Amino acid sequence: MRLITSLDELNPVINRMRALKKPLTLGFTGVPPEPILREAIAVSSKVVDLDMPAGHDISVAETIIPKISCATLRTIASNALLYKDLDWIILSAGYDKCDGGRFLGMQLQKVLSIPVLLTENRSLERRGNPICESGLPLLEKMERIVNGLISDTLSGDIKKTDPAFGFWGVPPNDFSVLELFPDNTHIFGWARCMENRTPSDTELEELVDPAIPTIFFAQAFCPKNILAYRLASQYNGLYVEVDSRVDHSIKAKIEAFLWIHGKKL
Amino acid sequence: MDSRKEIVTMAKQIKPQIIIDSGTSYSKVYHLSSRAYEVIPSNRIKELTADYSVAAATGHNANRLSGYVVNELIALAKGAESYIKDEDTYTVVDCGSRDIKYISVSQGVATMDWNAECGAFCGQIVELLQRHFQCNPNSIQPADRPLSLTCGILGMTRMFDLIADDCDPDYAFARFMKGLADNVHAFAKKPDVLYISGGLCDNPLFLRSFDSVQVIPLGRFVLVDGLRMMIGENDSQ
Repeated sequence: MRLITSLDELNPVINRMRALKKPLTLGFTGVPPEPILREAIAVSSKVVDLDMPAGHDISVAETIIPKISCATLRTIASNALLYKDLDWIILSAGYDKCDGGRFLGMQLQKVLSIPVLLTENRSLERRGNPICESGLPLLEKMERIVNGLISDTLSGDIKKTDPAFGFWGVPPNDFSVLELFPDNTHIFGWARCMENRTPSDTELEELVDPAIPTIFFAQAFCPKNILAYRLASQYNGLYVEVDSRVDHSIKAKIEAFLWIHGKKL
Repeated sequence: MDSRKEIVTMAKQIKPQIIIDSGTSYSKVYHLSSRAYEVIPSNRIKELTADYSVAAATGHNANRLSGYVVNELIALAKGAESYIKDEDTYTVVDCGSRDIKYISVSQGVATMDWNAECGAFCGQIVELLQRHFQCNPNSIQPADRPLSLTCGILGMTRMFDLIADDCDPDYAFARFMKGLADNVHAFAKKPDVLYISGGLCDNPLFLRSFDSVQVIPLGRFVLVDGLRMMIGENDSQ
C-alpha cells in the first residue's frame, strides 16, 4: 500500500486526470493534506465529501465491508459505489483516519475502475478553531467545519462564546443529534482537529474543558469509543455511542444529561 | 377551531384522565380520579386511550399519547425523590424491557447514564426466556457465577449454548440473571445500596442475584409517581 503525502507524488495522477479533458468529479474522505486537497479541488469541477450521507442505501456497503463497520465507513463505501459520476477519489487512510479507512481504501482500489489515492495528513500546525468556540447553533458549527474543507465557511458573524456544554467527537453520521444542544456548546475531539486541519493531533483530540459538562460521542464500532469512554469517565461526562441513526433512547439520554446540568427542556 | 375539533376537544375534556409511563412492553398507568394504578401491555394502549385522556406521559411511546411529555430519566429522578426522602446520597436504577437507566444523587449533585444499545433488551429477553423455558423465578436459586452478557440478545445466545452443552435450563437461566444483576450493579457504578425501579422488581431471582450490595426494590410505578409530582398530583404519597 502506498500513501501519497506530497504534491510531487500527486502530480503524475493530476496529469493523467487532466489528460482526460473532461469535467472531473472528485470524491474525498477525512482531512487530506492541505496542498494535496487544494490541488485536487483545483483540477475538479465538482467535489463530493464521501464521509457525508447522501441519501444512498448504506446497506450497499455490505457488498465490500462487514455490517459491523462504523456508519462512517459504510457511508464512504456506499457513496463510492453508488456515485456514478466519480472520476477519482482521495481517501484518508493513515494515522489521521483509522485502520478501517485504510482497509476500505485498499478494497475500493480493487473494486473501482477509477484512481483511488490513499493519503495521510500528519500536520500538527493548528489553524485555530473559531467555529468550535462560536455561538452558532451546534448543527451549523459542525456543517461549517465539514464544509470548510472545500469552501470558506469562516465568513459572517462568528463570535466566541462562553461554553455551557461540550460536544466531543467526530461529526456524527446523523446530524440531528446536534439539534438537542444549546448554541453555546463548544466542540472538542476530532471535529476540533478537523477545523484546525490537524487530524492526527491526538493531544488536541484529548483536550477537554473540565469545567463544562461534556457529551463524549463516538460512532458504534469505531475504536474512538475507547477514547470517548475513558474521557467520559475521567471528566464525569456522558458517553454516547450511536450507529447510523440517533434513536429515541439516545436523544432522551442526552436530553436528560443536559437537564441535569441546567438546560431547560 | 371548526365544530368537529371543538367536539373532540370537549370529549377529551370530559373523559377521565390518566397519566402513563408507556414503555416498550408494558404501560404503567395512574388514574387521576380513582387514584388507582394498573399495568397493561403497551400493545393495548389504544384501547385505554379511547376511553381516557392522557394528562401526562413518559416512556418510549409517550409522544403519541399526550401533549405533556416528560423525559423518562427526569420522571425517574422526580419519582425517586418521592420514595427516598431522608437520604441525600442514593442511586436508583430503572430496569426496563428495552434499556437500563440510572440516576445517582450525592449531596445535590446528580450523575446519570442510560444504556440504550449494547447491554440493552435484557428485560424483554428475561420475559421471553422465562416463558420459553417455563422458568419460575420464585423457586430457582441464584447462580454462583454469572453469564457474561454484552446485551440481552447475545446473552440469550450464550444461554442456549450452555443448554446445548447439557446444562440444566434453570441453572443456565440463573446464570443469565446473575450476569444481568452484575451488569446493572456495574452500570450504576457499584453503589453499596441500590434502589431498583421497573418490572424486574417483581422478579425474586433477579433481586437475589446481586452480590455485595443492598438491593431495595421500589416497584414499577416510580416514573408514574415522578409524573404525578410534576403535575402537582402528589399529595397521597
